[in-house]
Amino acid sequence: MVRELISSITEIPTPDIVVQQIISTASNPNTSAKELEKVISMDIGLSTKILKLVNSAYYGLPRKITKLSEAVVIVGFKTVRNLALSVFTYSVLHSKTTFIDHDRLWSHFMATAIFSEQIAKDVGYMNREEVFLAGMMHDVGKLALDLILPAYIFELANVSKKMERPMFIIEYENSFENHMEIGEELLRHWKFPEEYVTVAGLHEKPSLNPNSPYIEMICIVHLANVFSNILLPETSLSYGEPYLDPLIFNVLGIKPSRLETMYKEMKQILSKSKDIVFGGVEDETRVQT
Amino acid sequence: MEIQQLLSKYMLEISKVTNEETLYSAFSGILRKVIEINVLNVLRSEKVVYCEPLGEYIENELFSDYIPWVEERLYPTFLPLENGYIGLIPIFKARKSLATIVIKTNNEPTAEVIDYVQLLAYLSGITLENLRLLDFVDRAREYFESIINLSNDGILILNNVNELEFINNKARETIEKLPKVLDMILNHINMQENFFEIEENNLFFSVSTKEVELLGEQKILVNVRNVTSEKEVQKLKEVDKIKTNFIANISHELRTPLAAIKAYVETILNMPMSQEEIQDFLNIVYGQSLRLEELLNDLLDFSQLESHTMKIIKEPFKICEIVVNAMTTVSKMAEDKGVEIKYDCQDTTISCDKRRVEQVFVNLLTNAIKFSDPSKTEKYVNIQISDELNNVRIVVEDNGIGIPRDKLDKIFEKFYRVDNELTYSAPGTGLGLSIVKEIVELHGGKIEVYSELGKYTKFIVILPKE
Repeated sequence: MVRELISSITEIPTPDIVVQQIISTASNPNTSAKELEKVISMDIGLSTKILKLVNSAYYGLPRKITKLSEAVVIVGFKTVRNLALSVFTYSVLHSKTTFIDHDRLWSHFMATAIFSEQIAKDVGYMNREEVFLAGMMHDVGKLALDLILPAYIFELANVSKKMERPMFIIEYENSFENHMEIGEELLRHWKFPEEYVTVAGLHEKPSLNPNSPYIEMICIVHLANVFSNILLPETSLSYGEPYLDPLIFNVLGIKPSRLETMYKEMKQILSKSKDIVFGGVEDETRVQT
Repeated sequence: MEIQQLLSKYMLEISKVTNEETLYSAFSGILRKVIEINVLNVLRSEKVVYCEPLGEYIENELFSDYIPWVEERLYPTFLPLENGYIGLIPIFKARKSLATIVIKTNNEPTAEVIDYVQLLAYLSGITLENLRLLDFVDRAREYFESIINLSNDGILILNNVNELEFINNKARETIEKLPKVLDMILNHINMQENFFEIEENNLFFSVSTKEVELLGEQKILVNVRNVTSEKEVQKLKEVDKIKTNFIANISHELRTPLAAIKAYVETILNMPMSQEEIQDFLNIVYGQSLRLEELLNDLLDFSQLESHTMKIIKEPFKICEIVVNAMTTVSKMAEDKGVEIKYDCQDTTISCDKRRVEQVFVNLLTNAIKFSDPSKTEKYVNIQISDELNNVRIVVEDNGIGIPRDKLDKIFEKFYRVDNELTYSAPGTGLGLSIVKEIVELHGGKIEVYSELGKYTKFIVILPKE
């Protein structure tokens, strides 16, 4: 039912051709990186925003980058790709005024992305850019719900707040299609590769499928989501004590005692990346009309 | 070449590297398959540790501001130059940057090249850390090995069938010089002793052994310490103490007869006495004078002993005559103590210093009588003299109190008394036996002692006839 909803409802934006190409590189970055760089370069608005993000304090570059081609070789194509998709996601999130605060939800997306990358670095997981992107997209289900049923998600957030329980638990208990499933459907609809779809589906409770081929990525995003809910409370529209799945200790090879050090680290990273977490990038929607 | 083929080639190559240099060279080789390299430098802690081509360095100011950034970010990065690029490739493990490879290239790196480089860096990080760990372990082992070998104590490890498994330098030195030491140690271990001392070639070793578990197997750890100098110091201290005791002792010994002489003579001078009474008193005075003389002779002998200036004058004498003389000298004392002197002499002529040899007998007999066992009803000293071709064999055996086993080797030492305290349980200077030994040795003979506590003491003296 959700699938039909998402593909039929016009409220759900569809990425334009540039973003479509960018998404396709998320699964196969070797296809046309150089070509895509040219495409993005030609889109002055997009490349300006990307350059602004690249030069933000989060990346802490010693010298200012002024050209997209420089950005691609210095911070890497995948990072540029992630930033391009962040511009797109931001604009989708801000495409409509509803009952919820989109800037706050955006800060949850970005904080989770940044924490995911940091955790990947901590545990020695190589594909850090992929994890960043997965972290950024993990909660797009909430975005979709907000576009399709804005009153419903607003009410859901209120119940979560009143009951002081995480939103996903309330969703489960009411056995309505939840934001995880809807996120999966939206990412499929946007033709994101399977790993991002899976992360969106399992990020609240990785142990639902411990045998997933992307279990490391799922666990990293899950932990990042928990940190994000602690450090930026209520931005995710979820309240109460966040749920931490014990599966992550085994999968990521960390001891519970290490969480405290990681928490401090996340706090530090967050204070360093305020500009991209809270700043956002105003943009006309990068959406096909 | 396909990326996969390149990677398997590289993994095979890095599995063979033995040092950092070969790893860097392999890295450079595989990197050159995907990107042209003009110069390659490897930085470790801001210092260039590897160059290709040799001696060529990339200008530091082109990239140095990016080094901390790259080492924090742990991604390869390429800085555009006017013509070409500087590539900075951090080699890392977990979050630790181990080295940074700096390359200068004319090619623009594609996204796939950067991806590939990141994979190489990841693989190299694991190898590099292993190399450094190995090196660290090697150096740590060397460090501890040096400590063990520099130790002044010998350290050995024996396996469960007592075969030598490890030996440090000190222990090897000792055993090469004194091979018997190892056998002695093994003997003690077989007797289940954990702490013992061994003596070999006038050197003393204190040995401790301990059962230990090494790498899951039962072994014996043996510690051998040369305690010769400690022993010597201990000996000197003992001699010093004995000398002090000796002075106190001899003063007492001299004072007793002197006091008697003084008292008796005073009485004779101040009291009207009959001729007979005077005669009796003078006999006592005479007896005490003889005792004084004897003590002074001992003292004189002692000084000769100290300075090794004792001289003997050899003349032929009948051995039995000398023995009879000595027996006469001690007969009064033997009678007082109730000790019977038995005597069996095979007469022969011996070339010796009569007075000195007589002294040997007197001292041995005096000792036997002095240390007779009062608890025994039948107390005796048995002298046996036999003619043995070139030697005369003298055995003096008593059934006295005996000498403790551990003191047997000390009784010939100067001033040594087994009681060793001012107990006066038996009078004496403690010089008797050391004088005996000196005389016997001056005659070219030897003396041995056997004893069992509470049962007997037996001295065997062998004197050459000529």
